[in-house]
Amino acid sequence: MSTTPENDLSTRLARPLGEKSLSSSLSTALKVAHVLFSISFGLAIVTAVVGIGLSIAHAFNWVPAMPSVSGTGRTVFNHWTIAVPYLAFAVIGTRGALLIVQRLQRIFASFVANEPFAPDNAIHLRSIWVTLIVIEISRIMAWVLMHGLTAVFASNEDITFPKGLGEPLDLVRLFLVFVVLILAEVFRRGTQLRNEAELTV
Amino acid sequence: MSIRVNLDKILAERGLSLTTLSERVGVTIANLSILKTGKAKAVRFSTLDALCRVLECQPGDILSHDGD
Repeated sequence: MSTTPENDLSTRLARPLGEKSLSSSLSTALKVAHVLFSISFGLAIVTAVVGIGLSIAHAFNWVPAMPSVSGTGRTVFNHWTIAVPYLAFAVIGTRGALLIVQRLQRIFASFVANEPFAPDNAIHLRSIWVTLIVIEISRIMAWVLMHGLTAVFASNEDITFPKGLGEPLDLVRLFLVFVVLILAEVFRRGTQLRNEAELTV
Repeated sequence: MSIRVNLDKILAERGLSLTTLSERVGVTIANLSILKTGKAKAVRFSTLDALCRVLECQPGDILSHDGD
C-alpha cells in the first residue's frame, strides 16, 4: 500500500518517539536551527568587535560619526555607552541560544532512540534553564548599563535607544524560564523512577 | 542488601532450570538472573505470586532476611 502525504504526516504526529516520529522531524528542525544560530553567533562576535571598536574610536574623535546607517545602527555604532552593553549582550544571547539548541538536539536524540528518560536528559534540561537565566540576567544588566552609562556620559545628547533589549522586567520571559525549570525537575524525578524500575523484577 | 533470594536452592530441589522457570512464570531469563544473583532492587507481588505458584512454595521459601 503506498503512503500518501496525509498518511505520512498523521503517522509522524501519532508517533512521539522513535524513527519517523514527531521527535525525528523536530530533530531535523533543530539541525537547521543549529546552523542558523552558529552563523548568528559568528556574526554577533564580528559585529561586537567592529561596533565596539568604532564607537570607542568615535568617542575619542578618531573616526567621524556613522553617516547613513539605519537608525539603530547609527545609534549603536556612534555611542559606546550603547554599543558596549548592547553588542556584548548580542554575543551572550546568541551563544546562549546556540547552547540551548545543542542541548535540545541531545534530548531529541534520546527521544528518537525511544529513551525519553535517559539520565542525561535531566542534566540537559537543567542546563537549558540555567542558560535562560544567564541570558535574562545579561539582558537586564545590558539594559541597566545602557541607560546608566548614557545618563552619566552622554546625558546631553538626544538618543533613541534600540528596542532589541525590550523592557527591563519581562514577566513573560521569567515565567517561561520558570516553566522550563519545573519541566527539568519533572524529568529529574522521571529519571529517578526509571532507574528504580530498571532493577525491579 | 540484607534480603537473600534462595531461588538457586529451590530450583535445585525441584530439578528445574532457569529457562524452564522463565517459560512457566513469564519473566525473562535476564530478569530471573537479576533476581537470583541478588541484584534486584524490588520484586513485584505479581512476580512473587507467579514464582510461588510454579515452584509450589511460600514467599518465605524464596526470600529470607539476613539479620546483622
